[in-house]
Formats: sequence, C-alpha cells, structure tokens
Amino acid sequence: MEKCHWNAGLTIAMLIGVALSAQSVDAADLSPAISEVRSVTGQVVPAAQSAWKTLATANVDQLTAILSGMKDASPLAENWLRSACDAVVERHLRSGGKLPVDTLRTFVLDSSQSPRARRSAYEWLVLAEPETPNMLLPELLNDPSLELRYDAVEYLLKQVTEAPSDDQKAVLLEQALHASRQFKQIQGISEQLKKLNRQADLTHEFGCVTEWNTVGPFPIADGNGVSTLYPPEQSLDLAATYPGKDGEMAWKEAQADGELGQLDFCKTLGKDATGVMYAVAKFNAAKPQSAQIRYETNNGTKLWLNGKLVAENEVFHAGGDWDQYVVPIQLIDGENTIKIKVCQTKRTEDWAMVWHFRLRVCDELGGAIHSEPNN
Amino acid sequence: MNSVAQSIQSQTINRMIHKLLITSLTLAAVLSGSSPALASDWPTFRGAGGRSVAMEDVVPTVWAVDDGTNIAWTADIPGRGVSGPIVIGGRVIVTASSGPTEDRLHVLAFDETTGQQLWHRQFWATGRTLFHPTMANATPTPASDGEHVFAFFSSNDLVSLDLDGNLLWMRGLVLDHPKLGNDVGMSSSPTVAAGAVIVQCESQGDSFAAAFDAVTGAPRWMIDRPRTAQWASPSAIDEENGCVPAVVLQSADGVSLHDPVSGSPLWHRKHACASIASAVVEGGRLFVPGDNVTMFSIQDGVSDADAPIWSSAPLRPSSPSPVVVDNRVYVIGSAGVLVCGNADTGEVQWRRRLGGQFWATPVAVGNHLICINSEGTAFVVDRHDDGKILAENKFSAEMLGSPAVANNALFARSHKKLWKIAASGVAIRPASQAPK
Repeated sequence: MEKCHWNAGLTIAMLIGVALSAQSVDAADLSPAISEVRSVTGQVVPAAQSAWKTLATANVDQLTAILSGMKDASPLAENWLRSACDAVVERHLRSGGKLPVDTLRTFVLDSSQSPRARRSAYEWLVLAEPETPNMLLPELLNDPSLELRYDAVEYLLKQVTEAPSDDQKAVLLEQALHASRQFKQIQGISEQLKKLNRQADLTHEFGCVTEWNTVGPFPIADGNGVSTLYPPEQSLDLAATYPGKDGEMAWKEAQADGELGQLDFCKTLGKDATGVMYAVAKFNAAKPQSAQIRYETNNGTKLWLNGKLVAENEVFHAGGDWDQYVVPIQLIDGENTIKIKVCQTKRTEDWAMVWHFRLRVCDELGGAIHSEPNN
Repeated sequence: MNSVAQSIQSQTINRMIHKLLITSLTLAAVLSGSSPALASDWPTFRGAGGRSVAMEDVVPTVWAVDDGTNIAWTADIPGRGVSGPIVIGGRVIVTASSGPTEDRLHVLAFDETTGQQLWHRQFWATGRTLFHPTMANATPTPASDGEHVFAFFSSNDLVSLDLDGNLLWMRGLVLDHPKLGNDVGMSSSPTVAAGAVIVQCESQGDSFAAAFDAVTGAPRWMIDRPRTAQWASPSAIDEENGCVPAVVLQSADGVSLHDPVSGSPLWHRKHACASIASAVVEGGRLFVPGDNVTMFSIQDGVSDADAPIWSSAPLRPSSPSPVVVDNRVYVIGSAGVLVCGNADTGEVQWRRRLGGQFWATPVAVGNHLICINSEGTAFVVDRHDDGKILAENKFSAEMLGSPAVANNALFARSHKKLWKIAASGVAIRPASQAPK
C-alpha cells in the first residue's frame, strides 16, 4: 500500500515535471517566433507569417509568454502578437478548454508588462470569470493602460449613485475626474459635479495653456499663409512691432478664456477676419521631461517649442476635435517657449468662419502637466 | 512502400497539385487583372466590379427581424461599424471598431450558411481615430481577392488575413504618412486588382492612392492625389464592366482611370465629382456622381479629349453611389427620393420618395432595388414599375453600411447586428422575365 502511494506520488511528480518541462521547452521554442514577429514592418517576409502561425498554434498556457513579447514592441508588432493570442484563445475555448485564470490575473496586475498586453489578459479573464471587474478594477484607477483606467473610472462612477450623501458622491466624482484620461468621460463627470453644485475646472484639469501673448493679423498675400515666413517666425521679440493693415501691430497679452481654454481670434477681430496670428506662451517645467503638446484648431498651424518647429498642419476646417494633434516634445528644465502660428483664409461658409485654437501640455497618457509658478 | 508512406506520398502530391492550382489561378488572376473570387461572392464594397448588382439572385421581398420571417440568421457584432459586409468563400466578413476612442479594430468571419462566428481578430489603431459621430473607425468596407481579406479602417490601418483568420501582414499607413487623415473620418473602401489591394487615401495632409501586394503587403505603386478631403472609393473594373482593366479614382476636381499594375494614368478628365458617392462603370460607360450624374463613354479606348455623353442635373446623388443596371441609372438624392434615369440619355424616367436619409448604396437584385435608409428601413422597390414600393422592412437600428448580396441572400449590418435575409418567402422575378 505504501509502495503504491509512493508510486502514485512519483507518477504525479513525474507528470508535473514532464508538464513543466514541456511548458518551458515550448515557451523557449516560442522565443524565436516572438522575436521574428517583434521585428515586423508593414512589408512582411514569409518568416514573419510563419512565426505568427507558430504563435497562433501555441498552447493556451503559453498565452502570457506571447503577451510578454508585447513589452516595448512597436505598434505593428503589438498587433501581430495580440492577433496570434486571439487565435490561441479562440481555438482553446472552442475545444472546451478553460483559460489559465490565475496566470492571467497575475499578468494583469504586473504593471511592468505592456499596457495593451495586460488589457488583453484582462479581457480574457473577464471572459473566464465575469466577476473580474469587481475584483480588479478598484485597483486599476490610475493604471498605465488607458483602457483599464477607463473601465476603472466607469466602475467608480457606478458607485456614485450608491453613495449616501452628495458630499460622498462629490468625493468619488473628484476621484474619478482626476483619474480619467478620456475626454468624454471627463465631460460626463463634470456634468455630474455640476448637478451637485460643484464646479470642475476642466481647463486646469486638462492642463490647457491660457496665458498668451499674441500679434497679428498678418495679411495673407499668397496661398494659405502656413508656409509664408512672417517676422515673428524669423525671430521672437515680444517688444517688437510690425506694420499691419491698420498701423503698427504689437504683441498683446491674451487670455484663452473661451470654453476649455480656447483662444478665439474672431472675438477680437470679427468672424470674417482673415490672416495669420501668432501666439506665444511661457511654460515653466519642474524638470526636463518627455511630454506632449496636444492642440485643436480648425485652422492651418505651425508649432514651435523653444524655437524648434515641432508640428506643421496645413489643414483647414476638417473637423477639429479635442486632442486633434498630438505632438511629442521634450521639455527643458525651467522656462520653455511655446509659439503657435494660426492661419485663416477667406471663407464664405458660415461654418468655416472660425479662427481659434486650444493647446495643452500633458504626459503621454494625457494627464495634465502644469506650468510651475514663476519664482 | 507501406500504406502510411503511400498515404503521405499521396497527400504530398495532392498538396502539390493544390498549390500548383492555386498558383496557376493566382497567376491567371494577376495576368488578367481580376481576382479569383467566385462570381456568386460579394468581394468588395458594391460587389464585384463596383456595380452593386446581383441580377441572378433571389432575395425575399418581405422580412421581419422581430419575428424572424425570412431571417436565416442573426449574429452579434462588437462595437460599432458602418462598413458593409462582404461574402467570400462561404464566409461573411465584417469589420467593427470599439473602445472609448474606437481605437480597437475588429475583423470577424461568420459562416455564410449558419451564421456561426468562425474567427475574430483584434488590433489597435496606429493612426488617427477622430471622426464625425455618424462615422466609425470601421467605415471602409473590407475587400477580398478570394484568398485574402483586406480590412481597412478610418485610422488608415490595413490588415491582410487569409480566409481562416491567419494574419498575413498589416500596414499602418499613418506610420509612413503621419499627416494622413481627417477628423471627419476616412471612408474610402479598398478594392482589389492585379494581385494587389488598392487604397485611396486623400486628405489635406498626406494624400495618395497606393497598391500593396496581396501576399506580402509590399508597395506595388503609389501615386500622389489632390490634397483635399475625399471619401469616395476606388473601383477595379475590367471586361465585365465593358472596358480595359483599370482602377477608377475620383476626387473633387477630376476622375481618372489607372493601370492596375503600375498605377499609371490611362485617362483623366477634369470634372466636379462628388466627394462621397463613387463612380460606377457599366457597359463601357463611366457614370460619375457630382452635382449631376455625368456619363462618359470609355468603351472604345479612352482619350483625354473625350467629352461627356450627357450630364443630368435631376440625377443628383447624395451619399449613396449610383447603381446602373438594365440601361437605367438609379440615384438617391438628399431628400430620400429615388430617381431613375435613362443610362443612354440621362433623361429622368421616374421618381419615388422613399423617405429618410441614406448612406448605404442600394443593391439591384433581379427586378428589385433594395434601399436601406440610415434609420434601418429597407425599401424594396420594383425597378420596372415606376419604383413602386413593394415592401418596407424595418431593421429598427441605425444602418449606414451598404448591404451585400450572395447566393440568394441579402447580408445587412447595423452597428451591433449582422443579418442574413434568405428564405423561400416571396420570390422575386428572375431578371430574364423583366418587362421590356
């Protein structure tokens, strides 16, 4: 009997050993395929297609190994890896298999992994365990995955209705407001706060730049003005004056006091005004850092940071939406100078008689970076 | 040789023959400039040849989604989508987009017969995902050459999969052309010709038309296009359309035919074209939507000096593209009025108020025209009886994608549902019995 126990134990241990060994061998075998897929470009070689098939036919236990390959991968490679995982999960579920929920849960909570890989793991976890949102979302309110963060904020917002008092509701809403990085979600939270007679300063929340110096309008002699070099483009001197249609033009302080930090040139120039305006703002950064300038306008623009051209968009009245243009920048420690050129050509359509912009500074997730106060 | 070895040898030979056959078919398709998709399939936006015509099919006149009358099956679709379904090799392919910023891209395949979901692949957009609320990232209708599916999105992500959902390649066109896109959204659907998928990406920033190798995604050709926003789709045409193999491209200021192999222009006319409705070629005649529909003859070779044969102001399409069949041109105007014109002269034959706003291009099925408005009402119209409305079938959902017809079934999608309409039901007259 004792021998029998020993035999059973040995057999189980051997089976586990074999299984673990097979898993590790298989996982090791996936490395070349993951590596191949991570190097894909738009134009593929047969090796990449073959590698994708290798990954797509992997065992479900290797799912997180494939997902790990998404760390620091290019956007195209992320898509190759995700779609291979889709095939793995699909085949496994179709055969009646169960997903490795413990491994997936651990992976979701490992913030060192790719945000998109973690989101993928979360989605499969929800599929296997529908109560997952209740268990995990409260922990993911400030997650680097924008998708997980969005759901976590939504989860928090559901609790608002159950809060016993307006004060407690407001606390939850404020928490949601600061955590959210999604424009419409933030607008919705703001509306809820308004109903509780609380004001959310969205202009500040988004990190909109509101203090500007502007000069113009410079007349457009040819084309749409975007590629024409006007004096403020050649050298920046806020004390300088320039000849204009109605006399000398000087830099003036301007407050972007429109909705969500909009600076509307039509307000001072009239709705049928045309020409080129320049706006300059000082931005004090607490430290040198990677950041983004995100801006929105219906007009043609050029954008400079510290004298370097960082964006040019010869696009007019083509929609215009929040965070329309996302420009990666590198802030220097201390004072940074943001300069934007905004062009409006002659228009007859009422909907095209708009001449404005909004601009904000944020991190790569869209969280506001505020200018430090001047000492 | 034992039986196992014989079996392996036999399988190997079969595979070789199969590969040889596929290669031959592909080669023949490349040489002829056409695709190996079956005639009964619906491989692109507006079907083969971009005509939105299925003359040999029979689709019920009446159906009801609430009680299942003539509904063969219904399938759920994630997210949103205003792309149309395509039908290829027994599969119905649909695209969708989801997420707070609609940066999640979906390509789904359903069994044409049963509606069972066969596979679902997901991607993240690499380009802009801003668009008008009417649209979705999944606005362009996918295309297929019979072996590959080409899914295209407003974010200018182009994905190639085989019919079993295996990823073959993906191109994020904005990664190569950062200024590509507009914030109303991009809607131009890809087409397929000469072994390549062809996209028309026109915006105020980067603007081009390009062909990518169907198998590898390698660029075959790329040509500059006007830097203005444009939502119309290219069409691959050939002998079936009564002219040489070509790709039709239109922009606000002109329409042109291009060699599908090189992209070289074959013919160009300055012309004020529509920016949403797309041109159609039938019987060697090019019908160009704009403020008017204008017809050019391109049957006997083409020349830049060719003047239009006619231009008809009453034929003024809104967003749906014209449909040309049986020597008639059908357009739906902005007031939801269906207008029928003579394809030889442009002369109006009849008008019929349908009602509502239309985005989907109608489809001609036998003697009928099926027109689905954006509120999801499908008008079944008798083309030969002054546009008499035979039935109004309500999907009760917003519907902007153009329907497909294949194997005696209509495939229509809303944001959330895909329907196959097919049954014994009330049959319509075969085309051969159409009144003269």
